[in-house]
Amino acid sequence: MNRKETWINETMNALDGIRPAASDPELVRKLYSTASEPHENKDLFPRPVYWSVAAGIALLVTLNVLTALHFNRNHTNLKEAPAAVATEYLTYLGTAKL
Amino acid sequence: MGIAPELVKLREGDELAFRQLVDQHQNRVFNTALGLLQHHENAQDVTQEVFVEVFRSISKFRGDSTLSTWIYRITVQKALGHIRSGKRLKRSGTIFGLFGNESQLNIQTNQPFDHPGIQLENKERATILFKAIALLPLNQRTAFTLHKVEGLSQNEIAVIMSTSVSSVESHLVRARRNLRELLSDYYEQNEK
Repeated sequence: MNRKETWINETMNALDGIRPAASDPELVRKLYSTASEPHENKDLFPRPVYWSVAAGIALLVTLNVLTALHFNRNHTNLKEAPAAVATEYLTYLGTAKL
Repeated sequence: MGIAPELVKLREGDELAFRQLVDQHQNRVFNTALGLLQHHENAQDVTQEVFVEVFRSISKFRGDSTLSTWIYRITVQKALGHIRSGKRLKRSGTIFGLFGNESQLNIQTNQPFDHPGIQLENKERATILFKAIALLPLNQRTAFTLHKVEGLSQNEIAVIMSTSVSSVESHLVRARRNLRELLSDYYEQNEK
């Protein structure tokens, strides 16, 4: 075995006998505090409830917008209606004279 | 088979049970993360993320595997996610892109990884080997690290990586072959 192969083999075996690294006491303290955090931060209601409320609000807003648009369209039609009736009446009168 | 009393307590949110869980698993979680990430602070971050995830999703644990394996799996997923998102690069300021050809072991990290559990006489070579491991594809890197650093069997690695034993065997064979090639290149450039 040449020098290079020996070096590669030795390097490949460099992790033999590796010991676990000791974790930092500060990390352990943080992990302990993490253990209590999820309970404090727990959602007040189950997640589906939040989604249902959000969907309800979205539906309400959509219905309001649609109602507003519909009202505006009808309002415009009402403004235009007298003029249309007058034109139709005058046309009728003109025809009647004849 | 009934649910273990410890698991029932964990699901009920018993803080003492969580503390015991931390005591039992924090070293393994930290060491697995450290081996995969090769970065002390990031390994600590991942360890915290793992336990937050464990606490939040303990109710989803169905007992198909042991609790230990489940935690290991979360650890590997979190660590790989960390590697993928490049958090390590941002923190250490390492720029792999500068060195173009990744098939050559010529990366010059600002802070070479020095695992505290390596025997003194192996320190220098282990640093080079860790650099080479960091260049492996993630599956090979994971399998090799779990095997060599954590000392896990191929069966255990297969369960953690959610794959077959033959697949793990294949990852390990390819990892060794790739590492030998990388080390050979390195030797040609530096040790000759």
